[in-house]
Amino acid sequence: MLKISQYLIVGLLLLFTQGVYAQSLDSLDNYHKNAARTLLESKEGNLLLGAYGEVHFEQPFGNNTKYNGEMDAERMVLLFGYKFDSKTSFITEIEIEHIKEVYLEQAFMNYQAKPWLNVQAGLLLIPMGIMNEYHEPTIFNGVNRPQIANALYPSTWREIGAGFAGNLPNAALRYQLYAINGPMSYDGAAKLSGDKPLRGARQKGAQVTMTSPDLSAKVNYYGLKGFDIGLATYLGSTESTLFNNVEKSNTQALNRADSSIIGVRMLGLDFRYQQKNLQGKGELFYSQFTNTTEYNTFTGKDLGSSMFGYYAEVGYNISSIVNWEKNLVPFIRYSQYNTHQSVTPEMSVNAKYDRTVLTAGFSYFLNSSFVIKADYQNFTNASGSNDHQFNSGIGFWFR
Amino acid sequence: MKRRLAAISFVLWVCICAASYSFLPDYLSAKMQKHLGKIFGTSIQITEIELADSIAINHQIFKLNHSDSIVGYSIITRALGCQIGGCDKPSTDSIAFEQFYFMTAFDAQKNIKKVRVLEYTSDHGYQIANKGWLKQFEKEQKFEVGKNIDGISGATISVKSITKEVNYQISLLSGY
Repeated sequence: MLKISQYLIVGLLLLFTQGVYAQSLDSLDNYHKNAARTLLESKEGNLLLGAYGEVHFEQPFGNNTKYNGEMDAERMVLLFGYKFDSKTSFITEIEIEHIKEVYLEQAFMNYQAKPWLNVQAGLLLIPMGIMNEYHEPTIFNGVNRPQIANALYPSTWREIGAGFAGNLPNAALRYQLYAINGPMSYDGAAKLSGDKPLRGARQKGAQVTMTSPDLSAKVNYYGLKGFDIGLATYLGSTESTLFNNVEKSNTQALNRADSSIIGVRMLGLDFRYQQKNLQGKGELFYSQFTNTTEYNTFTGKDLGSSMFGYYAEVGYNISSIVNWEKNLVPFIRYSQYNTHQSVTPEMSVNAKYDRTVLTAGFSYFLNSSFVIKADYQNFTNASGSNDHQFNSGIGFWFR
Repeated sequence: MKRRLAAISFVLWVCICAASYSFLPDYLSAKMQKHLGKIFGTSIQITEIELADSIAINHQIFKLNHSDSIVGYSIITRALGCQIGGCDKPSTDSIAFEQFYFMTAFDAQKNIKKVRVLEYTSDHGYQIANKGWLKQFEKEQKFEVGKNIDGISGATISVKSITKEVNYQISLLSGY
C-alpha cells in the first residue's frame, strides 16, 4: 500500500514538472513550428510539375511483303501535383495520345491518415503487373511496352474508385486495395474480344457506368535484396448499359442485360530485380472469365474463358565494361501469351491468339531523363504466322 | 524487480524531459528504440543530444549508455524521398512532396552497426527499405552510389538521398 502511494506521489511530481516544462516550451514551440513550416510548406515546394513522353518509329518487314513504316508521337503526359498540407495532396496526369486524343491518366487525392495508411480516391491506376503503374519510357526497355501489357491487361488501365495504400518498411511490404468501377462490356456494341479481351473495355473515368464496384488489390514484397515482387488480383464483373432504366419485373430485359456482362477473376505475379549492372523483370498473368457462353451468344464475339501469359526480360548495363560515361543497356525479352488459354465447349480455340514475341534491343541513356531506344521483334503464333518488326524511339521524363 | 522497472521508467522519463523540442514525429524514437534494443540490449539508456535548429529540423541524435560507459550512438534523419508519380530525378522543389525517415545505429567507435528505414509513405522508391540493400552501409565510412552503393532503378532519388544523408550523419557524429 505504501509502495503504491509512493509511486503515485512520484508520478504526480513527474506530471507536474512535465507540465511546467511543456509550458516553458510553448513560445519556443511556436517558433519551431513556424520555422518548420517555412521549410516544409514553402510555396515552391507545394506544386509539382512534370512530364514524360515518347516518339516512335515502327517498321514491319519480311515475308516477301512490303510494309509502310509508321512514325507516331505516341504520347505526351503532363503531370501536376499539389500538396495542400503535410498530409493531403492531389495528383493528376494529362495525357495526349497520338497528338489528337486527350485523356486523364490519373487524378486522385491522397490523404496520409497514418504513416502506413494512405486513403486515395479519384481516377486511379489499377495495380496490376508492373507496366500499368510504372511505364515512364526511361524505366522500361523496348520502344513499345511488352505486348502482354496490351493483351492480358489493358495498360494504361485506370478507373474511378477509392481505397487504401501504404508501406510497412520494417516488414518490407507495400499494399494497395481499391474498390473501383469495372470495365464496360456492352454499351450498345460489344466491347470485349478474344484477341485483346479487356483492351476496348476501359471506361477511363469518362461518364462511367457502374452497377457494383470491383475489387483490385496488390501486395509488394521487397525484403529480398535486389528484388521487388508483386502479387495482384482483380475480382469483379464488367458493366453494361442494358441494366439502366429496366423495370425490375421485366425478366426478359434483365436476362438480356445479364448476357451482356462477364465475371472477371485476374491474378498477376511480377518481379523486378537489380543488382549492380544486371537487371531483370517479369510478369505472369492468369485470368478467368465467366458467363462467356451467354456473352458470346448475345454479341457474336469470341471471348475465351481463360487467358494466360508471361514474359521474362534480362538486361545488362555495359557502360562499365566499355568504359562509357553514359549508360547502355542491351536487353532481351521473351513473351508467351494466349488469350484463348481455354474456351467454352461450344466454340473452338483460335490458334492465332496463342502468341510468342521475342524482343532484343538496347536502351541508350543520354542522361537519366532521356533515353534513345531501338529493338527488333519477332512475332509468331500457333497458327504459323511469323512477322518481324524494327522499332526505334526516344523517350524522356522530367520533373 | 519492481524497483528496477521504476528506475528504468524514471531514466526514460528523464530522457524525454531532457530532450529538446523535436521537429521529427515523436513516435519515431519509439521505433528506433526497438531496433536499438536488438543491437545493444534493452537495458541501455538513450539520451538525446541537443542540436542547433538548422540541424534539428532534419536530424535527431542520441547517445547510448550502458551503466556509465558509452556503447553507441543513434541518429534519426528526415530525408527527401520520391515524389508521388515518380522517382527518377531529384528536384529542388520537391521537399514538400515526399519525405522518409531512417535511423542509423553506431557503435562506440562510431562505426555503422545498422541502418533502418523507419517510415516511408511514397508510392515510389520504397525498395530502399530492403534490409539486404541497407547492409551495404555497414561496411565503410564513405559512400557513393555506383561505387559501394548499388543503384535501384525507379528509386534513384531515394537511393541518392539516403546515401547523402548517411555520409552527413557520419560527419555530424564526428563532432560529438
